[in-house]
Amino acid sequence: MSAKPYLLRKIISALTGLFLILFLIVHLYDNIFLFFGEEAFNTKAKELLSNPFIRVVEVLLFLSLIFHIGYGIYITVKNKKARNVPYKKIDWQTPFYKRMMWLSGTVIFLFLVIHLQSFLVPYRITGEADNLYQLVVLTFKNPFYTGFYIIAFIFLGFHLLHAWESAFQTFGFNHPVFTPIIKIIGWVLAIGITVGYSVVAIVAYLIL
Amino acid sequence: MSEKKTMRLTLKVWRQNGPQDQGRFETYELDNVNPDWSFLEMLDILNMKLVREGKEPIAFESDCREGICGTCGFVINGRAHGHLHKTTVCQLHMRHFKDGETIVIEPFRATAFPVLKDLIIDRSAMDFILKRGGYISVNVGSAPDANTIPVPKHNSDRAFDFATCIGCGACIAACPNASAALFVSAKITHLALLPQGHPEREKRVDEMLTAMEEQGFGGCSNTYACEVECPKGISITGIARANLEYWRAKLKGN
Ligand code: SF4
Ligand code: FES
Repeated sequence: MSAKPYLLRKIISALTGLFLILFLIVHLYDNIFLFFGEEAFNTKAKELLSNPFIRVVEVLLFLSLIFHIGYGIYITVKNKKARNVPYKKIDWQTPFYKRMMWLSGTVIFLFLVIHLQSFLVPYRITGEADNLYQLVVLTFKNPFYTGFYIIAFIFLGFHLLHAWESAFQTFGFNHPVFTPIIKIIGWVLAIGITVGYSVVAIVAYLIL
Repeated sequence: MSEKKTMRLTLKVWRQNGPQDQGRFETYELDNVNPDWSFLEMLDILNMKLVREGKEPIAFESDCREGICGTCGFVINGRAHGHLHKTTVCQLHMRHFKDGETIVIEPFRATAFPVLKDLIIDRSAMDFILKRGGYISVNVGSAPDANTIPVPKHNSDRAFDFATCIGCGACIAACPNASAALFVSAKITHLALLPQGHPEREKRVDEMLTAMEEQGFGGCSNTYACEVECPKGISITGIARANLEYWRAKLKGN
C-alpha cells in the first residue's frame, strides 16, 4: 500500500466529528422536552420518528459514527507505531486530554453501546417499551447508570475541547483573530454539552 | 570576578552500543560542575573522566555549538533540548540546573530515528523528506537583477520565520505521535510564501507529506507539543498553512 498523507485520514475524523457535534446539540434540545412532562416528551419522540428527513439523517449519523470510530482506531494505531521505543522519562508539553483522544473515545464508545441498548433497542427494535418517557426516567433512577452517564459526558467534554479547535487547524484555518474566538466557542461547547446532558440526567434521577 | 559555586550532579544517561542493542541507563556522578558550562561542555568533561577511568565515553552529536546547525539534541529530564524555552542543548547552560540534581538524558525517540549509539540517532528520514520538496527551480546562468521578483516585506518576513528551522528533530521528539508535521510545514510554508517557491507549490506539499508518511512518522493530531520545544520558535500556524496548501493542491486537482 502506498503511503498517503495523514491529512486524508484526519479530515474524515474532523468532518464526521463536526457532524456528530451537530447531532449532540440537537439531541440535547430534544432531551429538554423531558422537563415538559410525559405527554410532551412522548409526542416529541413520535414526531421525530415519523419525520422522513430525520430518518435519512439517522443513516448519515450511523455512517459518521462508524467512520469516526474506524478512523480513530486507525489513526491511533498508526501514531503509536511511529514511536516504537517509548520514553523512559517524558514531560509532555501538551495537556493530557489532547494526548488521550483514544481514551476519551473509548469511554464514549462504551457509553454509546450501553445507551443504545437501554433506549434504542427496547423502544425502536424489540418494541418492549412503548412509553419512552417512563423508560428514560426509570433508567436514570439507577444511580450507577446516571453516575456512568455523567462520567462519560465528562470524557466527552474533554474529547470535544480538543476536537473542535483541532478540526479547524486540520482544515488549514488558523487565524490571529478568529482562532481565539474558535477556542472560546470550543470551551462553551464542551462545557455546555457536558453540563447540559448531566443536568438532564440529574433532574431525571432526583426529581422526575 | 566573584567565586562561582560549583555543582554536583547525578546523571542518568542512556547507553546503547548500537542499533541492535537493548540499551539501558547508566548513572554517573559529576563533581565541580561550573554553572557557566554548556550542557555539552559538561558532557565533554564527563567523557574525559570516563576515558581516564578506561570507560567508553558517551556518544553524542554536536557541530556549531551556537544553536544554528541543528546537530545537537537529546531529551533532558523528559524535555527535548531541555526545559529552557527556544534553546538547543548546546546553548543550554548548567546554571539552569540545581546543585545536587539528578538529570535524566535520553535520545530523541521515534521509529524513524533509530538509535545509532547512546544519544546519537539517525535523522536521515528528515533528509529524505527534504529531498522530495525542499527545493526550488531556478535558471542557471548570471544572477538576476535585484528586485526583478517583487516580494512583499510581510511575506518575506514570515517566510524567514519559517526558514529558520534548523532541522534538529526536537519537534518530532516532543510529539506524542512522533510526527514531523512542524518540520515539514516549516519548509512548505517558507516556500509557499515566496514567488520563487510557486512553480513546485502543489507538488511540494503532496510529495513532502507523502514522504513523511513513507518514512514512518506519525500524523499531526494538533497537540502543539512541538511548538513548545522548537528551539527556533517555529509556529504551529505553519502547520495550518501547510494543511491549507494541501487542500488547495487537492482542489486544484494535483
Ligand atoms: S521545526 Fe523546530 S524543532 Fe522541528 S526541526 Fe525545525 S527547528 Fe527543530
Ligand atoms: S551544535 Fe549546532 S545547534 Fe547545537
